[in-house]
Amino acid sequence: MRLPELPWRVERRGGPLGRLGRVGPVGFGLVAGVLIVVVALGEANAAFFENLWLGTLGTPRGTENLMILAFPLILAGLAASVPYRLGLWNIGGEGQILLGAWGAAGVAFLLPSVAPAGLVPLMLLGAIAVGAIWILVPALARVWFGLNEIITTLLLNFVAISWMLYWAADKWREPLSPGGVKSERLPAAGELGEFEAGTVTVPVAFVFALLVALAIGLVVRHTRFGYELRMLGASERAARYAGMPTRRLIVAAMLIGGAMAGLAGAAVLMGEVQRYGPAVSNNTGYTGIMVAVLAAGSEVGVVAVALVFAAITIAGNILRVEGGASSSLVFAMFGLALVLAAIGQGAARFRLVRRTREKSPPPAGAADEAPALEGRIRGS
Amino acid sequence: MDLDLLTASLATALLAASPALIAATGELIAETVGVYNLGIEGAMLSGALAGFVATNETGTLLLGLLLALAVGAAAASIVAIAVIVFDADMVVAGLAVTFLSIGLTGWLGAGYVRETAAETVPIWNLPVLSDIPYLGEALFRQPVLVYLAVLCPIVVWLILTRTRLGLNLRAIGESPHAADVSGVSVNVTRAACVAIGGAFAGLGGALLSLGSVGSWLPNITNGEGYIALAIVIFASWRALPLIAGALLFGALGTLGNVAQALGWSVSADFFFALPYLGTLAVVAVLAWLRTRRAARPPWPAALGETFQRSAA
Repeated sequence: MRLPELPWRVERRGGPLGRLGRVGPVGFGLVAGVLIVVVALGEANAAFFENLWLGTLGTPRGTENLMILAFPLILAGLAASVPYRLGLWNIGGEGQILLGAWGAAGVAFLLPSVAPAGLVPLMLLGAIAVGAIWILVPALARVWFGLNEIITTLLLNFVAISWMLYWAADKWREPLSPGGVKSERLPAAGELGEFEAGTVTVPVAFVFALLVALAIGLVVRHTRFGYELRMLGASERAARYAGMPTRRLIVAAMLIGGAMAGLAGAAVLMGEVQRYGPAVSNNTGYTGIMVAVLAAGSEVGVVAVALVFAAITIAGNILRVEGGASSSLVFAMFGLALVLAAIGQGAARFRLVRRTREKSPPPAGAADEAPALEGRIRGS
Repeated sequence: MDLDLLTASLATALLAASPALIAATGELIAETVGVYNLGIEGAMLSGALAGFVATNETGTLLLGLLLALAVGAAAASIVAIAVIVFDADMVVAGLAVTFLSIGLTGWLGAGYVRETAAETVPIWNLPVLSDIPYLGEALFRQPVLVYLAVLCPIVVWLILTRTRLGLNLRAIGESPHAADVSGVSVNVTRAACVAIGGAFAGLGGALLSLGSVGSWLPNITNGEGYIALAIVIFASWRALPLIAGALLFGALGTLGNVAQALGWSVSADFFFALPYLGTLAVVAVLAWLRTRRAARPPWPAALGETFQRSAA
């Protein structure tokens, strides 16, 4: 049986996507992902949206929450997005976060009596160094042996969890600590505090994350290194013909990614958490990958998507599902948004075209009728 | 080390290897036809929860296992549809399904946490073989699915190397255009293989929640789906070496128990990390050796590439 022919057919677009083709599917994925869950839970009422507004931009407290939830995602997003510019995957953000926070905590515990002006930069440097070291082996294995970096960075996450538990539950464990595994409190000098801007309390870590994103954006756009990164990302062959050190660039991009994740861990530790332990990351590394993919590697996009993800987290907390599983619910919404956006992005590469007899090649079996049909269309 | 400890360790290693082995076989099926399915972890996790819930709600293990197969296939089908129909990025689609599964199972499974399985996969003592001293006790007194896990790669190996179907599957992974010209429907076969691979992963997950663990825990797979991906790399995309890779992973996971029994003063955290660290090290060393021999890449040539029948 032959199916009747539709007046439209799907055609693959040539050339890169326009701005709408890139941003549209992401917006669709984020909005649809959340709405599907909210409607499925039967919570799509005015009270929910009012609470969402009050919980985010509607009140100073909500805005502060938004920033607190967004800053780790900005840094974790950059951790994945810098390698993503080269078509590389850093799926190890989760581990690099735990290790970066470990580096920062280690510096603080080793140098407890240094003043804040000295300790904070030292801790951040420690986080950058350890975060980068944690991705060094996958980066080198990639350029030396061609070993896929997805699986190596992934597996190291599980090693990092053991490393974290060893220090939080054993070496640095706070004796007689109630409520879970955590280290002793950091020295007060190692705290990233907050400041007042009008009615809103702004966490320093949020401003820090914005500055880091700005710095990465400037480096990528305005330096020779950034030019080489973009060139290599666009075409490896072209970069190689131009004599660029492709292997060194790949390693550099991955190390920057590891360092960003390390900073994310340090910033969370030095913000509200203050004790080294599992609380340093709430799947932040994995969420950062989603942020980077939805942002398509752009730094502005990372900041924007991180803020939207923060708002989705707040929405998830408003839904307050039974069993205290709201962080799982939020993660499911992120995943759903990513599935829908990925499908949308793929689909945006196609377009519907009205069937015109002149252009579309006649189907094999209908070859004999085709000329007659063509004539009729022209005649009418 | 005394023989009883060795026997017990071997038995535990085989049991620990089985879920990853089934999942790795599924992933190999998908990768043979050219689809890199990072959603395997998600399929495994969804299968683990679906199997557990169905078994506990109905009291019938068989229903649980069937649902685990179906849900694993469904999760993988999302990847297949996103990649094949909508031309989505393979890595993104796979990760998205895994993340969605982690979130959904964490949420939907919250009510089942720490409930024990109403029925677990029965243990089957193979006649005669299980009476072999030590070795028989270790290898042939296992849950039924463990034998199935070892059979999976053998059957897949036979299909891939000895049948016309296997030839077609490998052709799709090596050269989809040539396969297309010779009359194989590339994308339909790919979708089917990804779904079947997902079903395998779902069953592997169920072997955790209804077998070796025997209860539902959030994120129960703890990265075993990723281990399955590594086992496929370890095996150089061939079916039979999957068994060795999985056993290596299982053995590394058992060393902690051995150390405890022998009273070694090494932190337990080290032994939790060991299967991941060891798998990583082995895969890296094999990749290094391959580079030195300058051998042709062992993966299917079209792995990771989508297929569109071009007009030209």
